[in-house]
Amino acid sequence: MSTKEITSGYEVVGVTTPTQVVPDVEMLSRDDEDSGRWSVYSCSPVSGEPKTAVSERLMFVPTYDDEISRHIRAHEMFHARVSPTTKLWDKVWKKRGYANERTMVACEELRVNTLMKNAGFEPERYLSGGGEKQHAIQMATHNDFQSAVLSAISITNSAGFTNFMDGIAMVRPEWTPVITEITKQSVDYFQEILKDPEDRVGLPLNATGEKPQLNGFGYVENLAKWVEGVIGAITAPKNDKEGKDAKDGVGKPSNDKNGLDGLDGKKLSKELKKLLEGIKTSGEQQREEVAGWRSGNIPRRALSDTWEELKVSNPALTRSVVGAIGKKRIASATGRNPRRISRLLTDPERRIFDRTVRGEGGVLLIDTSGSMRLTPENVKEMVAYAPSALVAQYSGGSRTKPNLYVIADKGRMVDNLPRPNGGNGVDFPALKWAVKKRQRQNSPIIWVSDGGVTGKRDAHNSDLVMDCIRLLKKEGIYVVPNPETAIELLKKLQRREKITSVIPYTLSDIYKNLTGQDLVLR
Amino acid sequence: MATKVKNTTDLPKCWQTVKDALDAGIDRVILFGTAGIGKTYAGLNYGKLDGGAHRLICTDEMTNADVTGCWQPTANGSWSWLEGAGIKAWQGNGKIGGRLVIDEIDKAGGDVFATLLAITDTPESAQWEHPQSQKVIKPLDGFSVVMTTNVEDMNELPMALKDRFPVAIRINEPHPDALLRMSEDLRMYAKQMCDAGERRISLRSFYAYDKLRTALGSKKSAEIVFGNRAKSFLDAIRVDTGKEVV
Repeated sequence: MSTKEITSGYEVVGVTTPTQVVPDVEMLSRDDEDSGRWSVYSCSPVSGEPKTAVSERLMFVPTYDDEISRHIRAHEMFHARVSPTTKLWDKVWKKRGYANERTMVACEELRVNTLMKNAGFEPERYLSGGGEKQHAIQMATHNDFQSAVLSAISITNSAGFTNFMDGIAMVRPEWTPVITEITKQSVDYFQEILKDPEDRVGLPLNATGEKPQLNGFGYVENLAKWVEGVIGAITAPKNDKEGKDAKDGVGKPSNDKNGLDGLDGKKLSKELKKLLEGIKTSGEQQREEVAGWRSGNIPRRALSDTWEELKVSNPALTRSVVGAIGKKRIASATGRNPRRISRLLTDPERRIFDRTVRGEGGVLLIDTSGSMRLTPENVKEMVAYAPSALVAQYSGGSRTKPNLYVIADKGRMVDNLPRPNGGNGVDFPALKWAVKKRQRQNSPIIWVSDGGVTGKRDAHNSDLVMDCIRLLKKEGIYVVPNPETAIELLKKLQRREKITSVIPYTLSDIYKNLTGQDLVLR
Repeated sequence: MATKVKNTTDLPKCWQTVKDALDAGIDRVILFGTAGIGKTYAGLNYGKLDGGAHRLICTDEMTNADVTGCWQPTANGSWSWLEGAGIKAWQGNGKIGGRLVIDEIDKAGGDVFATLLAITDTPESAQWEHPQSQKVIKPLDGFSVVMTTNVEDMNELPMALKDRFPVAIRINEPHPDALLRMSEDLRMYAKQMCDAGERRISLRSFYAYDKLRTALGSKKSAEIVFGNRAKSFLDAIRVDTGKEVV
């Protein structure tokens, strides 16, 4: 750069003020927010600097007159046009509980990029943060599959996507087809909503109604829910020791092994094919569902509003459980009184003393809703095989009566079994209650249920089921569909044999539909 | 000032207030706010206008001739008095006083300003002697004044003026009738951009763009009307509608 001296100092030659382009953000209109004057500030066209605060009417965007800056401006303008306000985000979307905050943010980026593309912009050509490849390498190196998927979704339809996938392919090539399939399904999902309005009747993708069911962000929430299901299924534990909830994992780097870990060659290719098929099927199902959506189908209520309130009753436990084996004595090589003297001859280890062994405890939670068709004898029989456990039966549907009864604990049980209300309503709260009540961290929780969970007004939907499944996975809860399998499992438990869940069809079916993967439980 | 986006044909609150005030017979009103949103239009059309309406646009070069009148040579070599807008409005249709709409009074020079104060004084104090007939003229009943100004802060106006105009209404939205003159797809943008501060776009620009685009298409018309701002203008429409601007 050349300079020339002038009387007042130095003047830089050849430098002119660049043309400043300020976005006409005041032209945008929303249903949930007032229009008015915005404060627009200039920033650099690098990742992290451009930002928009809708309620505060603040926007930071590059103001250069070039295509990259123009596309960043358009991206931020779309945020100003469709993204939830801070108030709605904090008070509604974050609290509804259908999906994790971070997943929704990633899916919202995809919505914005999709809307941009649909409006004739070229984000796939001009929108790039610059550091995508390095970012991808880092995530793949740290085996952070969840973050990789979310990052990929957030930059899908942008120029940075190819670089990002290159970075993934360098470190974890086996992730590439999976991430590509998830992002493809996500793009197709939004494209389905953007189809010609004449082909479908429903809420537009850019709707900004004040109520959740009238806001296009509901589509984002729904996609985020699906993405979490898929990620959760892929990173599902192969055995109970690795059990960790996928939903909880989202948001923090995880060292969970994903479903493709440790596989090679033919096995990897087979697993991969299965996985991709599953993602594709569940993605298609998701699109089919959304194609039929009318405005009312975005759930109005938060997930926490969908369950009945748990009302626990603790009736007097007056009877001893027949065959109670709360604690028992077993032979031991050490002790004070040699009660088993004959073992000097018969036992190679000469265990002539006694040792008291306490029962493992545990919680047996019985769904006594109408669909289970349980008789009082069925329940009593199960109690008899779980003498040291805390046993509770639950059934919702009554506004006044309790919906969960503790019917047995520490070898004692109620005289007369309470009459069930007939509905479900509290499956998830009851499971949470059981988790709280377990005696020790390793005490087993057994849930006897056909999986036909329902919420308030006995309404059934897949979100409620997924809510329960996530808890089952997170807490390592065993599930069995009927008294017979429950008794079988309890017997095994008494014999200290390895036990596994017998997953009810309803749970596995819904999980498969939503995630494309087989449900694996403890 | 924020406004909730609603139907552009609904009468906004500020305009409803103007209408109510003028319909109720308030005869001294200041309408202030951004330019080009129909303040003058309201002055010339709202309320009781049986006595007619006369407009006076103030500049620093104007003289009292525009307000009270001036001598003018006639065909027979004599002179006759040509009445100014102020006197015409006083006399209305001869039975009922008319409406005087004074645009941008803050731009008038000291001499004219003093005359305008006299013209807009209370009916009991206001009077003027006709130079030709020597008759003392007073404003007829029904005489009203609507003053418009682009100043955003009423404190910028002289106290004497504010005293004469007890009702001052800030206009922050264009009048729906003014919006109806343009294509429907542009009305909301025109409405919102009228009060967009330094990025404001006047209704007149929207009218011009609307007319041009029928012949030249959106892109070319935007370039002609908005210059460097054309891309940003069209991008905003794209973002808002989610569609390409044809």
